[in-house]
Amino acid sequence: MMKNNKGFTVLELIVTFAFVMFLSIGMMSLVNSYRESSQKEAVRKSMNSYKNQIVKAIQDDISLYQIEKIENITENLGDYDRGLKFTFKTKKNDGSAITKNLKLLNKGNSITKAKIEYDGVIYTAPDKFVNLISDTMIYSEPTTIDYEIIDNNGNLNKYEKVLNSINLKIRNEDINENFDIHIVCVGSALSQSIEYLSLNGNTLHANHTSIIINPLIIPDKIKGGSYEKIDFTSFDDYDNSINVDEIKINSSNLKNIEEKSFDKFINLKKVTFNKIATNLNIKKNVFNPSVAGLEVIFPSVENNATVTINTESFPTGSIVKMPDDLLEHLIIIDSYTGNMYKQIQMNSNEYPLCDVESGLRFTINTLKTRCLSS
Amino acid sequence: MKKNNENGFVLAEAIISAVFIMGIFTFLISNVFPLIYKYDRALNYDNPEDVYLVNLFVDTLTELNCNVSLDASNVKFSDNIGINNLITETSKTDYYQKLISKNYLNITDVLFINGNTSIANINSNGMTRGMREYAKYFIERKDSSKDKITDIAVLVRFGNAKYAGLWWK
Repeated sequence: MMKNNKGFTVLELIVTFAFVMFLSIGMMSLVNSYRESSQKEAVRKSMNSYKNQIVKAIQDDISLYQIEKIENITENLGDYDRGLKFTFKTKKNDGSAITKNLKLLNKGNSITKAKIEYDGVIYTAPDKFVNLISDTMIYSEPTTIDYEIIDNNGNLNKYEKVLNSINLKIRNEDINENFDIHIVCVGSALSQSIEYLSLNGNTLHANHTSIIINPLIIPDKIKGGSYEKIDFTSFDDYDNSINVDEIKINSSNLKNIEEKSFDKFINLKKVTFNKIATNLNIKKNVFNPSVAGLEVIFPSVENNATVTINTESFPTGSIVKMPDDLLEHLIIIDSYTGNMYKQIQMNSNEYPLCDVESGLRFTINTLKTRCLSS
Repeated sequence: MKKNNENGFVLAEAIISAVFIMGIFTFLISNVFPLIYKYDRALNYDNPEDVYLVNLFVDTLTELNCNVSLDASNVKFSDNIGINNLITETSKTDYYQKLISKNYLNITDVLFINGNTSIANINSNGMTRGMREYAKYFIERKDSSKDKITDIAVLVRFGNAKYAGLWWK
């Protein structure tokens, strides 16, 4: 048999080379894409790690201390562009609130690394291609909402919550991907100590040792609960006056009504004490002096409860209704002299400003009510 | 001129080659798909950020005194429409709906299961594939010796197709 000594033809070689080249190019691009994927994954990993560190630091504090409020800060930012101040419900030993700042730096170019500082700890971006997107919403305005729950005693409790949403848009330009930080937390709209309010019909009920009520949620009437102190004065954050026309107080614990307690209630018409403490002390200037025609009603008492009022406790023209048994134990303090008097002189010509009618009610005709010693 | 050999492959050669190639592909697929699944899982399941959000959701359910009763299959699934009906008391719905809305928790689906829920139960329920996969993952990883039947797990799908779950004690 004759041996075939012919080699490959040119055509065969070309086809073979073309095929091998095609395979090589295909393999190279495949390997290259995997190499890029691997690099991207490494970047993603570092970005996720970076993001998780920040989320954990903030969320741990929120879980531990409970958020009270979040505010934008514009001062004392140092090298940073923007910032948020977290105020927590938990207090320090000295009674002051725990606060922590979140600060953001983004110079808007890819040379300067994005930088985030929280509670003094600086979290520098893992590589120089990381930017905070300029329209980053570092804090969406809190949405105040309230809802009601009927408790086991059948009381309708009104809660108020503030939903806060923080969105940090961190972009890695190297891989053209965003790594957003999204934190949601629920705070209380009430910056003070009140924990809940309950609504009974048209009256708001506060079952606390101290009540301080947000005017945003105050209905037309307020019914007080079993508390020891009333303080409606801390409304510095709000310009609103409080549009309440009636307050009912059922408390045998309430011993003092402080000055200006009801100063914000400029439309107040009626205050009813359904229960009073053994010794109730109503200090002067409790109400806003512009309140006209205020009616104050005290309950009949079986014990020797004493009510101490000041000659300037009630606004001009107020009508105070007090039953005989309590009237007998009424003590009036003269605002000018500090002298204490035990009974109001009735229908006195000499002191007409202090007028008691029918033994059950007296009318305060002027802010500077004067009374006689018995 | 010598006549070209025009014989093709015999049947046995073709079958052997086909079986060999199919074997290789089967091997590759069986190895690659779990890798893709694991990658998706690492990327989309139980990220710390999402676990915190679920925690807030669970706290809210507790605070709102929400009672979730599972069906006979030990599951309760609420899709993006039904989720708004989880809280039916009028006084609470506004707050609840606001909380799960896009600007806040951005929750689209919720699945409740308990320590007695099996994967078969998950399959029989008409939920989305993504949630079903996450539920399977959650059931497989849970420590059945510690999870009481009375406890309910809350599995959540977020709007960005991330998933996270927590036990609601």
